[in-house]
Amino acid sequence: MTEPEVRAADAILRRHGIRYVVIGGQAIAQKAATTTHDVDVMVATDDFGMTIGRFRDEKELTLDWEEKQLARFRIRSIGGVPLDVINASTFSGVESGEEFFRYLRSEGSTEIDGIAYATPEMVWYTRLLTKRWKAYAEKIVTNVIDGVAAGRLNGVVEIALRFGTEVTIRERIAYVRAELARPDIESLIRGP
Amino acid sequence: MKVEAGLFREAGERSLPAQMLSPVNRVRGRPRKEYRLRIRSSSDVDELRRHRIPAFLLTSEWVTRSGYPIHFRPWLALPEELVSKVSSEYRILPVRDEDALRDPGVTELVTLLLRFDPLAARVVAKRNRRKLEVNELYRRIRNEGLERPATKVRLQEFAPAIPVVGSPLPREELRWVEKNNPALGAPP
Repeated sequence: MTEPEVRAADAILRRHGIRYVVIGGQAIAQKAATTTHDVDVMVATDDFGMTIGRFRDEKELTLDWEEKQLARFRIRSIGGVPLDVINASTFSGVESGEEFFRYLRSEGSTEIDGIAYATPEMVWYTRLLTKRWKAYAEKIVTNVIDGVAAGRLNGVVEIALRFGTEVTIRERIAYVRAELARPDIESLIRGP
Repeated sequence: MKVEAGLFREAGERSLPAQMLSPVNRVRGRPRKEYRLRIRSSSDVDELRRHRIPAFLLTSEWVTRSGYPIHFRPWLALPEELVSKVSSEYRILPVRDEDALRDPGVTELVTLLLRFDPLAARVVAKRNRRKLEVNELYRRIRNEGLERPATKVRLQEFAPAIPVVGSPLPREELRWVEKNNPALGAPP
């Protein structure tokens, strides 16, 4: 099901002819019960600068802040819901950003209602590769409590092997697995 | 062996609606008929609450109104002794201290969130700091044994007496979570 926030973001992105994949919580929401309202979209590295430039002039958006690989806009028509635009090269490891985006589109996403959503493996991979990965590890634990199979962590390793980031990813997955093994978390996953 | 609770109707109290009671097979030699509660909707939960049964439906609307915009499938919070007496499609969140479910406010919301989404608990605590009852927060966290997740999201900043168990997340990451999840409203 397409959330209204994603629908609003999709309308803007389509109007500008930008290729993108929904990533982050809204993508996980296709498989899990918990998500925040913000919309994260990943765009091809070659399109990143152009996207930010066009969005600065877009009447439906307000630029909130901008970093080198990420810019946050707010969608005015739906109460200022954040729309994060992320450069694919952030996660491409030894490959190019274009190659990462191509992989994301062809192997790391599924299309629902005409919108491409990243798989949980892909979302977790990107979360664990950020500098704030420990906070994102908490979100992964919440996703597993919500019913996303912990076994999908194996798929994260496969992505990491493809992009040469496996050393970092393996260490961070070990942290997530240790959190999932906590008795209080295990009991919630198992249910009463 | 385990301790189990029972539900009894007091003199003068109305019975729960029949559709909420599902009979358990009567055990030979036992004089009383045992029931399981069937909870299928928020109005069932309201009905239980009218009967002073401390069940509480934790919804994402409440969390969103409290400053952390989120969607999640509701959790049915129940005293842990009652869990085995209930059938429900809702996800069940067992709570040790049933008092926490009598009239839950922001302090109890933070405690419940710590169980499955500590980042949300942190943001709600921060955005409702004035409404937080510090002593109650300490007591609830201790009663539920939630010192570890509380430490992870540094709830000692709000209730310093909470014992530190485990390692906290880096401050910068928690700041990022707050920045990354603005309360809904007009854009800046």
